[in-house]
Amino acid sequence: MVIAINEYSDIPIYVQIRNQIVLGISDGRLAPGEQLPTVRGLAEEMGINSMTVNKAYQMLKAEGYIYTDRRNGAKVREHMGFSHDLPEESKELLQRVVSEAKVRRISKEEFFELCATYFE
Amino acid sequence: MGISMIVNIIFLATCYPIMFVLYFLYRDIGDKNTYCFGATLKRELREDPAVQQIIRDYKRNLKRYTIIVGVIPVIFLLIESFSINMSLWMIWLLVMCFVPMFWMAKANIQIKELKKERGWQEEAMVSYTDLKTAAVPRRVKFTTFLPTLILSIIPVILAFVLFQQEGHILFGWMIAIFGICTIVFYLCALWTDRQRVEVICEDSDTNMNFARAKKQAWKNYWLLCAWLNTAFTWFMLYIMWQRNWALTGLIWGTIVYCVVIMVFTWKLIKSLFSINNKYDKKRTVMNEADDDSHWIWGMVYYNKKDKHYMVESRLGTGTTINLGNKAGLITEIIAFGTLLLIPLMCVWMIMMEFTPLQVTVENDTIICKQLNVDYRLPLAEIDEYEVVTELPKNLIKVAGTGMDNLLSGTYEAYRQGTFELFLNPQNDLFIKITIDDEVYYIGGEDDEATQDVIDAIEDYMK
Repeated sequence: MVIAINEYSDIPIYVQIRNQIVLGISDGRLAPGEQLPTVRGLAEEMGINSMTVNKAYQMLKAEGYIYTDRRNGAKVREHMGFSHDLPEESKELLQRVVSEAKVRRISKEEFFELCATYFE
Repeated sequence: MGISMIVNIIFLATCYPIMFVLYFLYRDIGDKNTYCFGATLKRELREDPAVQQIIRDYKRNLKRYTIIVGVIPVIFLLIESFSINMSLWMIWLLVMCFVPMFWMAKANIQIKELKKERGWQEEAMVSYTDLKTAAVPRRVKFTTFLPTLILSIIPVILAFVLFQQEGHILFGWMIAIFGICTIVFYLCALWTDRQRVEVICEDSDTNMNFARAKKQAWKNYWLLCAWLNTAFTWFMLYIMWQRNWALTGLIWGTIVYCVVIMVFTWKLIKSLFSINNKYDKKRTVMNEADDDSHWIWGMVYYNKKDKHYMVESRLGTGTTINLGNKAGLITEIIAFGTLLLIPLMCVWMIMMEFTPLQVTVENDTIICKQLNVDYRLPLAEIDEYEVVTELPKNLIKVAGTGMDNLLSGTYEAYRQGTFELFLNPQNDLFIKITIDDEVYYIGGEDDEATQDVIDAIEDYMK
């Protein structure tokens, strides 16, 4: 899976890494149980500080997307024990997106159609 | 054959062909993926007439320059002075390698200005990383290089043991320098192996194969260089041991070594080009990182945020050092410091050749003086002296200076021992002096000056 990082973006790099990995898990580009690079390996490859990658991994681990063990490094969690609900932060984000769609006069049908595209 | 002609042969055989390699290398150096002379430029924009004109101008200038640079060495063949000839060749080499960079920089500036004028500048600075290639990094195995490393260390140890017995530890150090080169080649292999993997498409396997192919080519190159260097280290040990043809062996050995390295380099460049061409068809991810501000003239990389010591060069194949990295900056300072030493070394050589040898007798002491050389031989300590018209045959320099008109320092003659020399071999008269089993051959600027010293010695001995 290829991740794209924009250094000029307002979004911090560790959040961009986190978001891209979550996106990869959701669309299947990252399979359950798939090995992720080590913190050092990814930092070396991206040419960034390993603390940045570590921060992204800690975030993903705390959110339950990945797990780490000392021997094998980080892997995508096989069974994500998430409740059948979105976290509060995501709900707030969704609310913001819906509001933006309304302001731009996007109809409910059009919005759902867009959601369906991303969902698939 | 004079030393000056030997210099011509060495440079013509080892450095002159580099000019042709550089011409073909520099000719297409401006065309690389999404870079035009090191400036980020979308491929479709390369067809713009203004861009094409910049490329044409660069190629024309390079062609003219190569022809002029190629003709200049003819003049060197007529020069008899070793130091002037050597200096000219060194300057020629530096000019040949570095002057084309001026046109590359000019083309880079022109492309950047064009981008500004036409509004072609990109705001985005997106860099791509493949998680799979980062998760399974390919590393050069130590075991692959282990045989060459061991085989290079053995002659170094042997040299120290053998030459220490003979009292020529300097030969041991000479062999050690060649042995160390094998370690340097191994370190280079590690460096190139740790370079960032270029992402060319969304398919991780393709990215991985592309990276593997390139890293394999680099690894093979460094491995071949390491084996060649190992063989050369053994060869050096052999010729140092068989002293009677050491100089000839050293000259021809070095020529063959340089030619073979050039062949390896040429094969590597060809192989990297063919890999790039093969994978170009699969390239879907184009580099959108318009970080031209980090690239000075498209060739010098300065990015403090980038932790990489080396990054892929935007011009041609290979890598370049990140000056934003402390270690990178130190390396560059050392490299440029070494380059600056070359002209200084040339001035020193010319001074050595043209400063007359001064041999005088003052206060019952023979004083031999020239620049940094200063021998003082008290007449009272002379065990034996002899006026000679011939020097020992097959002299090999252990430490010092050897030119057509100057031999100074420690020399060794095959199976005859070592001597301290301070003379002009073009003269006919020399003085052989023995003090405490140490043999000196000295001579003045000309035979007349030598005769004056002989007279002074004879007067004292009476």
